[in-house]
Formats: sequence, C-alpha cells, structure tokens
Amino acid sequence: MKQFKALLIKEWHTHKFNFLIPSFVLGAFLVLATLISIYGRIRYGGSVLTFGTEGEFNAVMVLRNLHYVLAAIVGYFGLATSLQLTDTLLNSDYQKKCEIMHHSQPVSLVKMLAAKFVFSVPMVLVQYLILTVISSLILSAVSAYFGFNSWGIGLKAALSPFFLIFIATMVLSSLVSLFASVFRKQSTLKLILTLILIEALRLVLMRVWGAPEIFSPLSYYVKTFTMPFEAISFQGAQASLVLENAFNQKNLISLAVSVLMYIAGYFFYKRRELS
Amino acid sequence: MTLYEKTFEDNPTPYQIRNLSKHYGKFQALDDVSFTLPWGKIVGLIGKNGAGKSTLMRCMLGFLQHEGEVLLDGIIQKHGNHEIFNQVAFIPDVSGLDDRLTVKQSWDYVREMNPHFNVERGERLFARSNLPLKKKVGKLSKGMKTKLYLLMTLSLDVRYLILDEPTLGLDIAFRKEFFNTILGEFFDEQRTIFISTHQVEEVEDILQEIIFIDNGKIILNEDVEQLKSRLHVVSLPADRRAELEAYRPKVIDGALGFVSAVMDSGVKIEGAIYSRPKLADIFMEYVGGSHETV
Repeated sequence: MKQFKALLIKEWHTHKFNFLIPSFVLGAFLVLATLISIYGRIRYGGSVLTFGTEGEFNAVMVLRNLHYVLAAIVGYFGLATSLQLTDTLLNSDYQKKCEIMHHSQPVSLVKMLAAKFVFSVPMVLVQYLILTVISSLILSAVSAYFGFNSWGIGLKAALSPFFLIFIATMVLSSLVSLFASVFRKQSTLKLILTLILIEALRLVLMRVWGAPEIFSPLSYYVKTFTMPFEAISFQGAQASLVLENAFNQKNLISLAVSVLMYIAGYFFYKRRELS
Repeated sequence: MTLYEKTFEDNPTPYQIRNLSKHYGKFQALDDVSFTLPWGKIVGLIGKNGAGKSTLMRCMLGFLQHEGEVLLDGIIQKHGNHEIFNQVAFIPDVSGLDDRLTVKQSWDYVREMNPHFNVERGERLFARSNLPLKKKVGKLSKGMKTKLYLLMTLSLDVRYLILDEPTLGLDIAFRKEFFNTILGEFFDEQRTIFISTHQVEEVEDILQEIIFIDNGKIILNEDVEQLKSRLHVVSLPADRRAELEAYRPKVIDGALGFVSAVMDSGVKIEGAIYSRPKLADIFMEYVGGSHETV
C-alpha cells in the first residue's frame, strides 16, 4: 500500500497539470459565464424567468437537458484527459529518459501499471463527478436566482451521464492503453491509422468483393465516444432511461472486452526492454 | 544473524551469470558470458565503447531479454523481475533521474518504494550534501544529479551496487568525491560493487577483481593483484624495439626514447627496465588498439 501510494503521488507530481485540465476548463467556463451574465445584467438589466403553469414541463426538460449537457461536456473533457493520461503515463518515463530509475525499484509491474490505471481512469472519473456536482449546483443556483428551482432534477440529470462516460472511458482508454503498451512513440497516431486501415480494408472487402457485413471497429469506437450525447434523446435525458441504456448487454460486453485489452496491454508492456 | 550472513552461509556465490548471450537483430552484443560476482569485492568491468558493458549490466538487472541465466542466491532472475532490486542497486551511465520531480519528491519516492531504505543513513548523507530540496531535478547540474542518485542509492541496504560509468562527464573533483563516498558509505566485506568505467586510472587502486570485455566476450576475469604480479612492463631504449617485437606483444608504447610493452613476468631481457603494469596497459595488451579507447 505504501508503494502504491508512492506511485500515485509520483504520477500526481509528474502529471498534475494534465490531470486537472477538466477543472481548468470548467473553471474557465464558469468565469466566462459569470462575466457574460454580469455584462448582460449591466447592459440589458435584470429579468426573472417566468415559465408559468403551461411552460412548467418544458422548463423542467430544458433545465434537465442543460444540466445533462453541461455534465456531458465536462465528462468529455474528463474522457479526453483520461485518454491522454493513459498514453502519457505508459510512455512518458521512456520519453523523459527516466524509465530505468522507475524500473529499478522493488515494485511489481502489476502494481506499477495498476497505479497508472487508477490515476488515469478512476481518479479522473472521481474528478469528473466532483466537477459535475459543482457545475450542477452552480447552474441550479443561477436558475434559482432567475426564479426556478432545479436543485433536485438538476443534480439527478447531471449525474445520469456518469455511467455512459464511465463506459466510454473504459472502452476507449483500454484501446489506447493497448496501443501505448505496444508502441512507445506516437501510439495514438498509430491507433488512429490502424482503425482507418481496418475500415478501408473492410470497405474494400464489402464493396469490391461483395463480402457480407463486417464489424467496423472505427464506427464502434466512434459510437462509444458519442454515446453520452446520444442519450440525451431519451425523453429529456431522464436518469432511469439513461441508466437502463448504460448497462445494456452490448455495453457490458464492451466493458468485458476493455478489461481483456488492459490485460493484453500488460503482457505487451511486460515484454518491453529498457534501453 | 543478519540477512547477509544467513544468505552467505546458504550460498557463497550468490550472483552468477551463466552463458549469457544477447542479440540485437543480427548483431551479437554478448556472447556466452559467464562469471560470478564474489562477496565483499570491488569488481571492475573494463571494455571499449560498444564492447557490451552496459548490455551486460542491463541483462544482469533483468532490463533486457537474453539467453543464458542470471542467478541471484541460486534463483534464476527472469526479464522484468523486480525482486532483484531488494538486493541490488543500480546507477546508470546517464543521469536517469526523473527531471519532472523535485529533489525532495525524488527522495521521498525512493524512500517509500524501497522497504530496505535506511532512513537514518539517508538523512545523514542528505544533511551533508548541499542539494536544494525544492529544485526540480531537471534544473540540477550533471554533478548534482549524480550526487542525488548516489545518495539515494547509498541509502539502500542492498548487497550489490552496480555502477555503469557513473562519473561520465563529471569533473575530477567530483569523481574523487564520488568514489570516496562509495567506499566510505557502502563498501564492506558483505557488499559487492560492480563498476564499469573508462576512467580506469581513478578506480585502479580500489579494484580487487577485474573483468575485461571485448566484442561481447569476457576475455579476462582475474584478481587484480594476481594479474599485476603475473605481468610486468618491460622497457627498452627505442633502438632495441625489435627485441620487444620478438615477443609479439599486441601494443608497444613509445615515449622519451624508450619503448615498452606488457609481458609475462617470466620474460627477462638483458638491460631492460621492469615496472608494475597499470590496468590500462594490461587491457591494451589483451584487447589491442589505442589507449584513448580505455
């Protein structure tokens, strides 16, 4: 546990700026939104939103979607941060020429890679959750100021994309992790090129040689990436429907495959030689 | 009974390298290398650039995949086995430290990662140094980086210290301090230092055993005193060069009107001057080439 903590602290010291990108982005967004609000209030004067009885349902939907979309945007920054960290954590020691120092410690590779995984996926997701709650509370405070109480539905809507972001992060980061374990340099570029190449081969096989429908990894990963935003169509992003969709059979299989990809990545990483 | 004594009784030749070979594609970096690191000795590994010194050390530490066996306490050490670092510490030829960490962060990291970190010794060594705690390692000079690496390594209670050209690029004063610190803080009859260097002169007096490596092969592995008593330098006036050449030495040096060569101590030539050979001279006799490569 002492070693694991030391590994996490080392990752924090060496990658804290990248890790905190979602916080910086949200912070910048909130500052900008506040400045625009202040400007609007000074320029156009204060006004209170009045939805009335007829507009009540629409207002709930609008606010719920607003919370959802803001949470999803923060989630995408979290996802992008997670993917970037997954690649960097596996290869930056090599690129910074300090691989030998870190591999000269009496610590198992499993523990070393587990610390990298915890830092790049679960810890980023925890940060995302905290940011989601903060952004939702701020949004609710603003809507309360304008005369509409959205604390409960807002928080519920804001937290609902979490599982979709979690699945997308696991699926995509496992793929990035696999490529980063195999390739020390430009692994993300090689990953993208591989997906494009497979897609091109797939199209050639299907269109030229008339092969039956072949699974497309590229569209699968693109769909996984856009999944949290697609969920907004579920009747105003209702939490129960989003959750139901998050844990369908397809996504559970995707999660299982991502675990296998992490394991495969471990074996590739283990075979590496230290130059 | 200490860990060292117990292990020593169990296994008097604990660090063994057997038939070690390493290929990089078609290039053979190591060719059937075998030797044993004895207890409580300072062993030098001498070879030209590209002879296979660094590759050998990296194979011994499990950094590289290889053919043959590396055994520690009778147990085969496979590629990537971290357990070896409970008994072995390593300082590479390049700094190797993480430039992104501060001095204190590096220190804390190594302390927390190593169950055998001797906090008392570490703090004593660190207090004596003038290393700036808050400074990033990347901002330190090459000498300061090496000092930090050395102090962290010397704070580990390990039995083997492997040094791969540790003083490369450092000034004379620092190199001297480096070796004095190692001898004072690490070396005793229970611990072994295995050092590769091209600055043979500065380790000449501390080495007890020597290994010459050339083209990936061990060409000599001997006790330094025994080696130096087995050989001597024969010097003759330059006009008697032919008498030296008759013994077919690999290298004949010439200076100040004299020519000299390292020969078996049994070789006696009338009127010759005999002197104790330096390791660099012996190396050249075994390997050939110019002194600049050692």
